[in-house]
Amino acid sequence: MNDIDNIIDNYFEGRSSLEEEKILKEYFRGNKVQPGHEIYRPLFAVFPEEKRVTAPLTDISYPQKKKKTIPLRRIGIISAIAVAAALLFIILHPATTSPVYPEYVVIVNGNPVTDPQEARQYAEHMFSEAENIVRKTYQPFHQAADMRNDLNAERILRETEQKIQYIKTGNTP
Amino acid sequence: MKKLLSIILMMLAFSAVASAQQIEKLFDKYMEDERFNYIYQMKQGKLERYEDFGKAYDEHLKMESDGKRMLTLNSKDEALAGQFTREVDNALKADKYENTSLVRNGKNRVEEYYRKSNKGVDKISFIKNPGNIIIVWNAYVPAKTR
Repeated sequence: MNDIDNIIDNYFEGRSSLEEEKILKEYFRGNKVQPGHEIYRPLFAVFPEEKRVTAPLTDISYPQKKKKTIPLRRIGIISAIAVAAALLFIILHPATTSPVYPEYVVIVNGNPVTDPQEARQYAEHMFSEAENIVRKTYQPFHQAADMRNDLNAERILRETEQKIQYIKTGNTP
Repeated sequence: MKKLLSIILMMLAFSAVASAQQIEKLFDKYMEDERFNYIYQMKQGKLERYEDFGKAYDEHLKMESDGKRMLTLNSKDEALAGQFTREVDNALKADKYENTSLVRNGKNRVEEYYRKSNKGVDKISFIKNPGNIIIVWNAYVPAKTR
């Protein structure tokens, strides 16, 4: 019996071997259980049930994400619509910002004038000079045209007739 | 026969395109030459009424400036001046510019040229002074096209 007590002590302390546990099972299954050990009978009576009890298999099913397959034809249609919309947008809303070109390009003796202000001043000065030359060169031409107008015989005769008429009638012009 | 005709047409088209840009090629040739001064003015959005005196044209179109260029030869080298003058004359002839006026006042000589094309109108003033030669090229386009 001391052996049984020792085995029980080992069992509760977690030091019992499988052989000792078998012994305990046989002991408590039998009819020679001492009164002091009756208290442990219900505990060791579940041992035969352990083998037959198996944990039910649980089937944990995760929600499967369905892969949506887009047909190629639809992809093509959508792409074509997107491209057409983009083209339409570009056509209807052209870029408002036009490329910036310098107002003047000035190159003096092969050297470009990079300062915009200087380039502008030089360009305007040179264009003005050219216009002056043209004006002076054409000056005799314009003078001749003015002289032609002044020496217009028809006009002189008409004005003279008007003056004579005013003198005759006594009316002032 | 068809092949020959197409070749002739292509050559005519090519020559027309090539010759129409002679004055522009002249500007491009000398713009960075150290013996010349080059100016290019881009007028934007300014309406200018195009007029030309001494010309018998009746049209007065509402034109807009499409740019103004000036090329000036600052050299007293007579040989260079003569060569440049000949180049300008050849370019104006090749581009079919019409000489609308020629005025000589003392040693100054001013020639005006005019050309009308599908794009618009080009006016060139060719100024010859002792010591410098100036070409001023005004381009005009109809106001709607700009």
